[in-house]
Amino acid sequence: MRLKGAILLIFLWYLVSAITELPHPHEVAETFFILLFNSEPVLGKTLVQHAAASLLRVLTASLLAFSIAIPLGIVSALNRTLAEVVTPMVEALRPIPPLAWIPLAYVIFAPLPNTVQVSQIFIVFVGAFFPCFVSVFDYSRNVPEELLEMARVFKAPERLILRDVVLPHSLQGVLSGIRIGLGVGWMSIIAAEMIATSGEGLGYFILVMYEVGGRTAEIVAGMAMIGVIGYLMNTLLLKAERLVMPWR
Amino acid sequence: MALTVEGLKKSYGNLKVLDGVTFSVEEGEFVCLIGESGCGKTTILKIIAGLERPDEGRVDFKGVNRMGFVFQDDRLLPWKTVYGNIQFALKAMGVEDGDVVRRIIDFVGLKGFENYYPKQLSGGMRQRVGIARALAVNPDLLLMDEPFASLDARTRERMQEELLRIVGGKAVVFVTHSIDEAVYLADKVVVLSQRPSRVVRFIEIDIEKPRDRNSDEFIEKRREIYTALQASSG
Amino acid sequence: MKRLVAIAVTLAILLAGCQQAEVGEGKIKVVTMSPRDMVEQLKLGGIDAFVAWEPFVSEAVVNGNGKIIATSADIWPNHPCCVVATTEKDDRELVTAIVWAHVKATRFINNPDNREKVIEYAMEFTGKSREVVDEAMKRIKFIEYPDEEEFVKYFENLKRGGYLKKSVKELGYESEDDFFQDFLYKDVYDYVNSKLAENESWVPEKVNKTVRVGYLTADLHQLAFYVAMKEGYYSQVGLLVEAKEFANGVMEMEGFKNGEIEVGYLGGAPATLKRVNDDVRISIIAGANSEGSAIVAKDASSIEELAGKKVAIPGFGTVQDFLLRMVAEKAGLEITT
Repeated sequence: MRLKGAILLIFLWYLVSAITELPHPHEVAETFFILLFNSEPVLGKTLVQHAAASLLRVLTASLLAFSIAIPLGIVSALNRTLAEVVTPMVEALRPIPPLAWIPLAYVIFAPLPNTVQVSQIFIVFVGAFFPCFVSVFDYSRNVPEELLEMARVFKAPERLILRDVVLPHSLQGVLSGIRIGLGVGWMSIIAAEMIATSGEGLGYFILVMYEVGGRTAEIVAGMAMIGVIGYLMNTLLLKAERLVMPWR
Repeated sequence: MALTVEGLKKSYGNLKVLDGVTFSVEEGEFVCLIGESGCGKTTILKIIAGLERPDEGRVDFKGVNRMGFVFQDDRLLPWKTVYGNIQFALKAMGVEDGDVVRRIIDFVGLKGFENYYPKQLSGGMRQRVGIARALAVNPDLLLMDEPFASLDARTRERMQEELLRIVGGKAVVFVTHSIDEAVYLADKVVVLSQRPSRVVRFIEIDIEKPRDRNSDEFIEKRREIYTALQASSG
Repeated sequence: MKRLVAIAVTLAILLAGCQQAEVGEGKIKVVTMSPRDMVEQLKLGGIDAFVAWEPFVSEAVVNGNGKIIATSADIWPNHPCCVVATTEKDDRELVTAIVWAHVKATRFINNPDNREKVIEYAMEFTGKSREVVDEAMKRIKFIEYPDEEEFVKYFENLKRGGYLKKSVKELGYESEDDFFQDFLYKDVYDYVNSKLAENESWVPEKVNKTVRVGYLTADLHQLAFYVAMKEGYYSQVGLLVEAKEFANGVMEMEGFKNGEIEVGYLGGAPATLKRVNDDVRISIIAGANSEGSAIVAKDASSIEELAGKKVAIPGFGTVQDFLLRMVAEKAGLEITT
């Protein structure tokens, strides 16, 4: 089934290439594999180096985002007062696309050294934070009533209910939150790199290839790299979920 | 006398559910509450378990330190193994673990499944874990809310047979809407009317256990309960 | 839980630390950004130096945030810079009118008698202060047609640096000479120039057309365009100009490609890169300026001192990129990204 999908995609690609300036799949594949470990002349870096730079930024920012979103999500779900303060803020900020924060980030972080880097990390932070928070919050708040009732019937103390009922149920939210957050973060960093000056990174690579011109195959190869990494991240995290939650 | 329930009344808004329910359970007695679906049987159990308060009436215990509860749906923690789920009840009640969990697992016939997660078990096995969890705290009174309702007929009968062996001489309040199940298990059947619920009859069943479902006296009791239920639904 | 948070935060900080990898010794790290951002970043310390065109060089100098360590005139005399290009080279009437207006405007700018008025125009066009404009005008050489030899030199640079994806053969030319004949289309300029030499007040026939002209935001090099409009040169030849502003030359080349403009003032670099790499069929019918760029540094006072520093350029393959590479090579420094 998956193979059929891939064949269809490649077929459609050839079709579109025939009538537009889109380079053919084999040209892109060739460029992709060459640039994977050989430096592209304009920027002097390989695709792997660009990907590593982007990934490093995403991991830094996401880790920061998760280390705040997860505890905050759980605590707000359990504390009504805090939830009443936090949820309206989150609901108001969440619909703002991460990219809309770029100009503001520049202004806010202007006094810091490495404004661009800090801003990019902030953009990814915003992208990763909200989906993670919402996922954790929703799961922590919606612990099945039947299980809580069961725990009460057995006169379980609050601490035990938290440890053995609420938190394990939240874990699903935490893990999907991490997976979705990383996905959005990955999309945000590529876009943030395209707008800001980065020196390296896949988004920057694509932008420079476009500016210098005549490098559509390089552009598509860069896009393919983004896709490959996004896919790998998702698959790895799904695998990790199964490992962390064997009961599912 | 282990438990006395007297004049329980309960309404949810305008919906009157219980209208003066009174019955008692002797030490070691197996009591079945029978009535049509939605007649408030579960509400009675919840009031006994202390999960809900009655509008009127009272519940008195004598010599009951701990209660075990078996739910209609198994209500196992999906992230805990068979062992962990049973242990949870012990931790909740602050009972020392010891080798109680292992013994109970053996006792309900789940040996070898200690490390299985609920999703890996069949419906009957999950219900067995639920029963084991309730028994693990060594309750003086066992409350059971249609525990076998969702099982297939064959499994259900086997579970009923085993249940009698497992609960031994404990006081039990068992809610069901199956006449056959009541006649098979109960020492005393409390027949409830339609909503709002009242007790319409007590029927003692003094047939020796284990009972033969095809014996004349069994069929006779079945008919008696059926008639009482029919009359109550008028 | 607490421990997990602590570990996560430490890891994040460590990772962030890794990102601040030092620039190697004997190397200059280049980044790209718009000249507007360069001025800001130089002030904030995000970069140590930049290579850009006027008025951004003077802005940084006048604000006291940077000083010039080399002008483009020193590094590469008569280097190409902004040009006037068109997709409608074969519309001789139109091109003649455009070139005439441009030449008139350039001569107006270069006439010392008009100095005061030119400064006024420059301030209006760029929105910069008199001080900045005054300073900037000193370094810009307003020209009528680019030095062809230097343009070829720029082209050679692009080829050597691996910036060009296509050869002129792939674009359908027999040879590079052929290509340049078409690309650097000087015929009309020569005609206008000779006509004006005969009679200073010669005006070509009115074309009575609307023409869409692209230009770059606040680029002082393109002052002639603004002056031609203000001094009414376009109306004298019957041209109704619809001006379209672009953020940078790359975007303006997209404008050419998509048929949004017929004529444009833009840098010679994007014009050449996109002409060759993406086959956007434009020809250069006039030059706007030469020189007028500079390397501005915050602390460094010589090229050598840029070792291990971060320098911004407006884009890869631009004249500014090569200016930096030329001085770096001379100073024995390597360029990294």
